[in-house]
Amino acid sequence: MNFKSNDPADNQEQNSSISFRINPTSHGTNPSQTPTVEWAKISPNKVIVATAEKAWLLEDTDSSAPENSTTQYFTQSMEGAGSIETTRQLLDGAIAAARYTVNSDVRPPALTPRRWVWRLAGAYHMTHPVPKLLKEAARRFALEGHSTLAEWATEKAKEEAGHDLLALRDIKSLGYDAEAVVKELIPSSAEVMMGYFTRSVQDDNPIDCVGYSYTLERMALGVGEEYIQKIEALFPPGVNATRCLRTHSSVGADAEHVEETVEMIAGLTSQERVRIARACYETALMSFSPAYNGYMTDEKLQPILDPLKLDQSLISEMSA
Amino acid sequence: MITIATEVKYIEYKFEDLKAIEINLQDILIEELKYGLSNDLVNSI
Ligand SMILES: [Fe+2]
Repeated sequence: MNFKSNDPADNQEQNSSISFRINPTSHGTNPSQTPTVEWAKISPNKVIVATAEKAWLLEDTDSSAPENSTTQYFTQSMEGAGSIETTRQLLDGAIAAARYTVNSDVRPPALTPRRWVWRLAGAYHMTHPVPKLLKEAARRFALEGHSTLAEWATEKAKEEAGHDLLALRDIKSLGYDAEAVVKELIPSSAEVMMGYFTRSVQDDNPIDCVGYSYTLERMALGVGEEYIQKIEALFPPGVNATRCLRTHSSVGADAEHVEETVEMIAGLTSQERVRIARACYETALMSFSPAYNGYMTDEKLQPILDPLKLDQSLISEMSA
Repeated sequence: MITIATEVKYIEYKFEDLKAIEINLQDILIEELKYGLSNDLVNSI
């Protein structure tokens, strides 16, 4: 892990004091060179502080902040306007803080083609209900009179349509009856994530779904061509089982979605940005946690998947 | 009708007492994706 402490003993350059400026609520020019700041309480004892360049995690903010200190100041509600750069760092910081919180060295077993089918089944369950849920979120945002968020959710529902089919086609390309596979394989971690997303949408103010969506798309940017090729190397030539991964990677549409969404979020009120940052943290906690109910191994998958293999002649027909 | 210009608020804070950990998401994602996400899912929506 690459967390730097700003304890002067560890890091000389952090030794001096830093001043921050709060963005005026009306978007004006910034004549001063002082970095503007955004912050958000993401859990009872954690606060993220962000400038345009970096983010910090303040811990134990519930108890240990000295009286009248700046740290204590940041335990109060954020004020001021957002900007694309500081809001981006705020949300990145909230996501990163989740990895720091989970702090686990438990890793999934190595990938095999069968284990990739397992992940694709997870991707199917995480994408299939999304367009419908986002339309519901749009309806609720509109009822609240929040047209910016209603438009965002409507647009996103369109963007996400058909992504479940990518996962199904990938599973088929590996030689399985995809519909049967996704009926059989429902990763608990995917259920937990969809439970969170569904509850966010069903809230009177479904704003947490913005943080959920942003986190998954932002984290997908960590997936590049090199990683995709590593996955492709697991399969025999002719298999195309990375459509879903490519779409949800830095080479797919998610890169653009992240830019659009951060711009939209930066224009929201400070209370809304704080809620989104907290939802980012909560979503990332689920992503960085070891699989619920343990990892699915190749050995456990074999007896489930073998009976779901398709006739080879059917596969070439379907991929034609 | 009189229009009153809203005064812009500028506040500065000194950070002498900031006890904080600097965190970098890019570093974390690179490390995490060596093995695939801990939750064993493709991060997709
Ligand atoms: Fe998607």
